[in-house]
Amino acid sequence: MSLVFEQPVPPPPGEVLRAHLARGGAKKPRRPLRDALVWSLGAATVAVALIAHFGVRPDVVGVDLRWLTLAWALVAVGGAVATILPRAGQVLPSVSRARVVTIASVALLALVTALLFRDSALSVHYSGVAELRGIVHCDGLGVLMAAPLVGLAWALVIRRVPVSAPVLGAAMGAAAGAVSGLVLNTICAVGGRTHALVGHVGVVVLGALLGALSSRFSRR
Amino acid sequence: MYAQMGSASRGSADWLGYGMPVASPVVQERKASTIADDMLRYVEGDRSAFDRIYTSTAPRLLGYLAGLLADRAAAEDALQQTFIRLHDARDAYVRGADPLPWIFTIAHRVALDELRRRRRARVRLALTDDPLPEPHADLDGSAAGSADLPDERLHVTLAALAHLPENQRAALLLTKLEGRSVAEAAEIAGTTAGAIKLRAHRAYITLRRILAKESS
Repeated sequence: MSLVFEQPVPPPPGEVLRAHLARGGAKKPRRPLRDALVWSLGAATVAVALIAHFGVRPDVVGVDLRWLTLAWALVAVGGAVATILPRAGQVLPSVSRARVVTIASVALLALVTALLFRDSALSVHYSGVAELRGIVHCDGLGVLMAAPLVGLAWALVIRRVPVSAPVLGAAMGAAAGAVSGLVLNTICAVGGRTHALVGHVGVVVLGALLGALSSRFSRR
Repeated sequence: MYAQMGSASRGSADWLGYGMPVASPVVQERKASTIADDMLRYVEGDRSAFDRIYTSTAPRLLGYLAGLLADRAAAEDALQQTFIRLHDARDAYVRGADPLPWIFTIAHRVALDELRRRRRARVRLALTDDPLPEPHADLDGSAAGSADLPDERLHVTLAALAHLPENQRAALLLTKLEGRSVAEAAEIAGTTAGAIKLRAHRAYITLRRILAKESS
């Protein structure tokens, strides 16, 4: 029993396609490495500007922020670069890699924060409703701070992707949330692991949601 | 309907017990580098490069779209739409990359949009009291357009393919007919490699069952 599928003969380009082709001019191909660099520089600029604007937390003398900040910065930049750069020989960023980046970013930052977060006698401690209010405040501020970086990611990557853009958006949003969380760790003097985990790591989750939402405006 | 075009350079893989053509890895690699060169020229404004890309990719894309949509006319429309979207998105191309998986991704998305549009249209029809229209038939009573199929078994296979859920059909077409790797098929369909393997396997089992029933 033998059966061979032959390739069908396609019609020539139709009138609509030809008219469309006539409208287009020369373009420059995308450069993912440059896009990754632009996003990373943008993230660094936004982080420095925000820290300069809000000021470093008053209890910083009693808290060693170096390792925590380094870990958050590595996760943010590493996640963004891994999402933006396509696999060798491919045009589009890898969806499966973006999926891993999103989940790994949240898990790693939660782990790092649980292990490395410290507060001092100068830190502010809330409890009950006040603690909840503090968490909501940090989450809200964090999302606002992440928004420009989600916008930059949308302009560089998310809008160009025709399939599974929400996954890529989520990965880039998580990276933007990580930058925002890094800023929160530096400016927020509220102590307590719960506040750090829900109020600061929570921004990474909210950033991922914001990024996924931004994909609704991507090219389809 | 399915004419000889570019089949000489294609190898043969046996799935479902039939000789189904897929491009060999060496041929795929050589083609990829040529299409990549043409794609770069096209992005940089060379119109003749577009014609070469169209000539080399349209038959494979049309085969994929026809399999996914189970409708030749809709597949031809989707093919034109794919190239319109490719033209709009040409600045997303990365120098030196193989554009074929990317073009397939765009085609896949166009086909999904068409299937969604059909589902919506079917729902609208079902909301009225009017009976659904009869499918067009040839004089001998067979479905219109089936007479030009080269082989009865091909007709049966295509009909069986149309019974599969669209995600299984896409997985089967990409991995078995197009010869894409599981990872590439996953990227094109926007899912995981595991899901593609599972869908292709399920599609394979279902197709075998349908074809076995037909032959018995």
